[in-house]
Amino acid sequence: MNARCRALLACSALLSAALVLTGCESVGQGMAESNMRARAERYAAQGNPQFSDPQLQAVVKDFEARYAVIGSDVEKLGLEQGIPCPVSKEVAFKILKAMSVEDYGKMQADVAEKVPGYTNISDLDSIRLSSLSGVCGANGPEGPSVVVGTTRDIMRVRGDGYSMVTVTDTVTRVEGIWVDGERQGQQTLISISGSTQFKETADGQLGENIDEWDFLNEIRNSPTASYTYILPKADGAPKYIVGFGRNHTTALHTTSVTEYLDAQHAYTRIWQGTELLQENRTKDGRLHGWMIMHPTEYDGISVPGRRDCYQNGEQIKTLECPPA
Amino acid sequence: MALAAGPTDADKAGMAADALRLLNKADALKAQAPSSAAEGFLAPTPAATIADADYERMLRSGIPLKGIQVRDDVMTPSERDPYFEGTFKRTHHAYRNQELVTFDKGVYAIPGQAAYVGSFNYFGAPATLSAMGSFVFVGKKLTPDGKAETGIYISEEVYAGFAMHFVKATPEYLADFERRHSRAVQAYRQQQAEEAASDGFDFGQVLALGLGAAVIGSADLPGVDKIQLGQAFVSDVLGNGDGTATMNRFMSAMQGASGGDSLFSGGMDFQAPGLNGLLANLMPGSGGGPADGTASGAGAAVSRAPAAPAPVAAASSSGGGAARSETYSFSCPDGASYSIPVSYRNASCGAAMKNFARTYSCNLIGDFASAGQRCQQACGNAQCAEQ
Repeated sequence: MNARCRALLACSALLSAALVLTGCESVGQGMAESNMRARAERYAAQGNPQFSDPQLQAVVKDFEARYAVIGSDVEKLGLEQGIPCPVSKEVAFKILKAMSVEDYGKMQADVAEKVPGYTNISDLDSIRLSSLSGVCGANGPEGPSVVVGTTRDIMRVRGDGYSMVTVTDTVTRVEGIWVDGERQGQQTLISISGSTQFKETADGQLGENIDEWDFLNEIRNSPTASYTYILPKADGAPKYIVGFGRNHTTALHTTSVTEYLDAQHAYTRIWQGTELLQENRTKDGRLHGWMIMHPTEYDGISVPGRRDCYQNGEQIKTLECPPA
Repeated sequence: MALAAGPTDADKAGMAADALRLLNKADALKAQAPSSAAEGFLAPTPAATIADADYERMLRSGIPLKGIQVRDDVMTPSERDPYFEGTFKRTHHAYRNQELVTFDKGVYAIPGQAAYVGSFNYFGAPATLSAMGSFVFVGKKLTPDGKAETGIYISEEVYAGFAMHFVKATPEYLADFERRHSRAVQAYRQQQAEEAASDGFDFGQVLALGLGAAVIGSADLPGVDKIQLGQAFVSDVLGNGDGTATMNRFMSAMQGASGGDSLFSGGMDFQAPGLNGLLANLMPGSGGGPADGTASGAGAAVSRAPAAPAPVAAASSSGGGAARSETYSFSCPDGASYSIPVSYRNASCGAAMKNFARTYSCNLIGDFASAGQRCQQACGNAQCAEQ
């Protein structure tokens, strides 16, 4: 977490305390809620960014058509209509998470080492995988197929005087072509997640974390939809990865486009509604070059733009920032 | 399933039971596994030893202050909060026009992540944000993987008492930071002066400070690290015409700094868990620090080497070949004299390094190009950093 986030958290804490002391807590909460709802309406009204590149524009149109039908309704992903795939939990995990159980464990251990108090595990017993079309055998889908499955992640964050556990269930629908157990070519993934938050009690048990502020509970329980499109080059390597994030309650209305310039370099743009918010470049998967945050407006306040330089994943304060 | 129509109370109870079982299992597995180098790195956070009364006493009486200040990270358990251990100094807050107590020399430790060992300089933010300011750090960043990197780091817009996030800065950025800070202070003070009679504050004190040169030159670092940082600084700011003056300020600031009580020669005894061992490993002759500034085995070092004076004109063995350190004294045509610590492995590179230092210190503009060429030929680097 960077210094700016810490400062914002500190300010939020001070603001909350001040509101309690002055008896204005409900007023502040009401303002925060109305601001967030207004922001959500603003982004939704803008629609999505449009592109001159026909491939990208086709993706936007496909997303708009699908979102109009599926939205964030998990029932519409077809989980109950599928035929169970006869795969192991580990194979199902790899199909749904695009990485092996071992790699996922290592990745989470790396994060835990850097973030004190953080633990994240995946509950393999909760995994299900069903086939909606195509062939699905012991090694998973083969050939053009559509599968849908469930995963459950458990994240615990222990900080200064608190311990929260969030259980997130995700249903993911994957459309693609599998060759020898590997996904290839153009792929579409739609994930819809919902969470329940618990807090650790003094006796070490978990109790549901219910806030007196209803809107906070609404945020916690609201589903988040993620639509991802992978468009390949002629050689099969990704050319574009386009993502759409949606959660109307939290005003999440993002579109991201990552263009793979060559085997090492990629260029990413992120929009909220149709407002370009961020641009960044990566080299070998790590931020490299300027990360640009464009000016925006947040609840009536103008937020100036800024740019930060990264070299091989490390932020550097500098005046020149070589992109390659 | 937490989705669909939303989980029932029975679903949630089952969810909680499963989550608790899996988390307990993960905790048990983690407890059995050997702890990583990162886990115990400068952890746990020691107790603070300084109270508000101590800062006030230092402000009033000037009594030196040394100890531990713990800073709050709301996202981190308190036993892993970051902390500063070392000496404090009085700093003039240009906006508030008053004295503050800020970090001077020591370590800013982020348990499990990094330790910044060296010198700190504080720059207050405008009066509207009186609890906010920026820290410039010059010294060595130590990490759990055993690496030690010398450099300039900056933490901007920091709230008093809260965790700081240091980002590596280039010398040119530091020079730019100085210009921005000076301009902002000057504008603010001028505005104040228009509103009230002048209180005697001298803008020139701020503008002539030569921040980059001063903070690097006075940093508590081994001489060779400092001169290389200074050379990089001069190299980066030469383009705007003030490089020579900057180098002179740098050389002046270097004199008398970093003596036998240096942080890097056992001059300070730290309570920070394991830090004395890490620093002992970096000392010349310890065998723990290769020539490229990367310390090995830092995470495992626990013993503390005895304090040793800074070597003068004495050969010491360091990974990658024998390094020679000495204090180079010289006079300029205008009569000014300087003494600069230099360190080198190759005699011809050492000679080029001395020539480079004298050329820039004495402002011998006509010799700048040839000094750089000689460095390039002898050391493989235009600023005489040995390759």
